[in-house]
Amino acid sequence: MTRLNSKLLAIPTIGRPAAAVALIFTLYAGCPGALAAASAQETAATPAREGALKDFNQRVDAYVELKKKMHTDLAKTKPGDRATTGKAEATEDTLAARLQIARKDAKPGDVFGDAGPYLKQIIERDTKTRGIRDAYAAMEEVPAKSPPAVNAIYPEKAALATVPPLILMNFPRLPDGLEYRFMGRDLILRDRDANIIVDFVAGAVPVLKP
Amino acid sequence: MRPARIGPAIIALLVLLCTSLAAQRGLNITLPNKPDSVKFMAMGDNGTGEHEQYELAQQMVEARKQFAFDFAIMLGDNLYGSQRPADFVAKFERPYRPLLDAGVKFYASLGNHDEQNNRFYKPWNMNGERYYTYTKKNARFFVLDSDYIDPKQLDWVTQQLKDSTDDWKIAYFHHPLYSSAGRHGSETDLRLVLEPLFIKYGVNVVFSGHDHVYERVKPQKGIYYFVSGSAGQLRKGDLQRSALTDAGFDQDQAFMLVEIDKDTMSVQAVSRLGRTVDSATIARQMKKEPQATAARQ
Repeated sequence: MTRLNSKLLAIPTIGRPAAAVALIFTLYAGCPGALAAASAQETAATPAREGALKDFNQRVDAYVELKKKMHTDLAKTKPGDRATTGKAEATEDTLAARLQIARKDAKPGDVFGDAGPYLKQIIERDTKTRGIRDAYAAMEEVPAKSPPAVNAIYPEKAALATVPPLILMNFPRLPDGLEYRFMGRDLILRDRDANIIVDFVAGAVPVLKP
Repeated sequence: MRPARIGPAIIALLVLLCTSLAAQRGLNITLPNKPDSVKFMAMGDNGTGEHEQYELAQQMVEARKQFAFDFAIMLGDNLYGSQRPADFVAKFERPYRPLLDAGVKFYASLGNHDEQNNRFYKPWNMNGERYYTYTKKNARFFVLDSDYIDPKQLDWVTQQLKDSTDDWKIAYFHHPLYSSAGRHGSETDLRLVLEPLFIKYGVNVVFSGHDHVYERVKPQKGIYYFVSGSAGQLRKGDLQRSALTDAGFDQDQAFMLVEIDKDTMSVQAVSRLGRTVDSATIARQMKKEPQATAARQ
């Protein structure tokens, strides 16, 4: 795959996404021809890509099934007074603990699998289409804490940074209760009901070295 | 004859006294205040628990004495920092107690600082949903979770907008599609996915927060946009007036009073000192002719 004059870097811009993203934009913007070629290649629906995404969806479904089993005897949260949010959190904690035990041997990539690189491509492609300010805006409130860990609790005090909807439009749809989020430069699959990190793709947000 | 002269004099004195007190407090409601209109208050980024939030809340209470709004829309970041039960008291229930006791209903949207479980907090009337809709007389409100606009939410809002036959379609959510503030500014990504829907299905007005200023944006593609994200937080001097800006205020905390009377919406933005920092009246946009009609011509 054409990757221009870029190399994915590890880590140093965590907590300073603006500079990183600006750099990405600057480098890509200089090579429109190559960009188009890269983009065309990346968007092509190859059998390998389709297979990887299909497998990903199946693993997501399997996770949802597991979660349903863990959730059966837990009370469904109903709207109530200020204590209700605390009760919802308690349910969340119980569910998280059960899932952590049930998936104690889970490793990074167990759910994303071979879909990870394709999702990464979608993010890269999206980044190329942004102006500097937009690129910055997309990443400015992403929690800097990194690297994530499978089964770890999503940091409760961290603001939930917006995930650009144009990226979400191109990602495989997720069932209720699961969502994509960014953490540092990593793409995470977050279980909203248990507030845990189900899996992650390391270095999904590109950083380029001049 | 003497008492007849004293009567008007006393009345005049009382009027003068009231006017003077109102002027001192800076409260001067400019809205039409029609008896059967839809009246509400809008605030964003309020949940700090700091004294500024409380002082602004006091102005809301004062405003309500003259302009009896019966509900309030919350534009996200309803609580900052810790969000335990005690925080709901300090950052919401206590400052707005007089409004809650008077039966004012709050309808919240979630911001990036809000914990998602807060959607179960009954006084925010979200009914456990991240996005929802409700009506008030001839207006329908579409409340979105702009933290995470996934295809499912887009499908939902598309369908809801499509089905709505209400005169006024009002959307609100945390992140502004248009903003001239320096800190965040316009969320162009969101705009790309939401604006076409808003245009297609005739959304009239959009309220957002996130940027800690007040801004009335010039109509964009026929839609009115307001940023009202300074009901607790404030980023003083952050408004970089641009071609988008119709009016703005970034020197103190502020909230909005809104009135819908038939085809007219009137707005008034009020500061922490009770000063009117903006007021405007807008006419409801005409609905587009149905395509079938156009085809016949």
